[in-house]
Amino acid sequence: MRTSTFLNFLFLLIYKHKSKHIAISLISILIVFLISSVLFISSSIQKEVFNTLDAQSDFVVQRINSGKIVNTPNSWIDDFSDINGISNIQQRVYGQYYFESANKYFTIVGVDLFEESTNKDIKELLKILNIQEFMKKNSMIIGNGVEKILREFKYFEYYFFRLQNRDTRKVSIFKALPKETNIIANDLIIMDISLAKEILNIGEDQSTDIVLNVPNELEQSNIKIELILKHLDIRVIQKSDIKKAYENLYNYKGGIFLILFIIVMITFVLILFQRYTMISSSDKKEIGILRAVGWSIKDVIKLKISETFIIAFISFLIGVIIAYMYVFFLNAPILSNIFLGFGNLENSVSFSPNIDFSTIVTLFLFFIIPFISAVLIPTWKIAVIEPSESMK
Amino acid sequence: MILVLFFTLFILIFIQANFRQQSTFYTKNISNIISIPTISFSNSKFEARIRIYDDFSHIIYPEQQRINYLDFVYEN
Repeated sequence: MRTSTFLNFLFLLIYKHKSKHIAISLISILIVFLISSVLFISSSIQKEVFNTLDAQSDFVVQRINSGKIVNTPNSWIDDFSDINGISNIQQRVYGQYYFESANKYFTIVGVDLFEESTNKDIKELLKILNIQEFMKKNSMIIGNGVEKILREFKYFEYYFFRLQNRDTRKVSIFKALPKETNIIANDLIIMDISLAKEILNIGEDQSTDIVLNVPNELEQSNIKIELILKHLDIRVIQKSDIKKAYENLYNYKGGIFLILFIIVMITFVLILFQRYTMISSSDKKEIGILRAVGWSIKDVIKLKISETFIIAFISFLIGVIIAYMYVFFLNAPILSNIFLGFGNLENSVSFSPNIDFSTIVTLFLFFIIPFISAVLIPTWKIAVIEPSESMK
Repeated sequence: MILVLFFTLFILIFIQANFRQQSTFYTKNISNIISIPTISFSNSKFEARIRIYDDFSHIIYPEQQRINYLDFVYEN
């Protein structure tokens, strides 16, 4: 009974002072919304990156000349096959193609269409039954960003690629990739490996790099050494290195926003503290009356903590919900550019939810504790004054 | 009233989350085809679009290198 009376009084008090709380709530919602949006975007992209990494080979081998990556000879594949414990060695062909008319870069990837798994994946992705049509003539599958640019320049059916020897190669557009692949394939052009080599000026017996698998994890460090010993001009990149680099990248970007959040939070707490220190005479009177009718200091503080907690909690909840809708329903316009870049092709992606609840809880604590303590100290200072003094 | 609003939001979010989970099929599928572990960064021409073209020498938190037995064989 006593609790229900207290709650009744508490909510009446919040309702009575609603205009006083609106400004604080709005600022709180904005702060929580911004930081939650950044965390949602960051974790969603990280999840996509790790999804793609799972499908990758354990090692990437590149040839280095004067610190720059040059094409790798395919004869290296035979050299590496001698090493025990290595499986599935493949050449990879990819590179960037400059589309002069729009001053943009496309990423060309050459795939071996005769390989069974690739063939099956393409059929599944494009929902086609027969891939023969794609293989019949020089064709390409393009990402959404590429399609948009080509359409702008009226290339609806085909495009003429410029080769290094001033020749051109006509390649017809087979199909555009589904919009859902945009986060990975927005600027991609997928074509047959030999055609890709021709356009990217890679020799027939060369490739961009070589990938290989080492099924036994315990052997990976030894095999890395053996690979390095095979050639002097070699760079071996392990999958775990790439994973770490991506983790660092997103933790770094998310970290910058976290620092900004802390700065904003400190400023906000200072404003709150200032506001409650210069407490109005009506607030002072209110506490005085409560003390005069028999409320203890503890009761007054309990009332003020509950009042502040409810306001902070509702603001936090609304901030997180708006952030969720902004990122996962509206696909985070403007903010997504910070994470995905905006230097080349415009990318409109759909983020898939990957919410780390521990982050939300940490954010909640970082938000609630300073919020409550900023209100608590000035309230306590008034509550300890004699009621007759505060009502003057 | 507020409870109904939150309940509706919860259902909406739940449905939307399930819908978006299906889209991971596409990203897995395309990364299987192209074998390149990168997302489509809209980079300027001065940056590497494909991160494995990078040598990771600039990373801000350099990871501790695992001790290699060759470190003991040859002087560093």
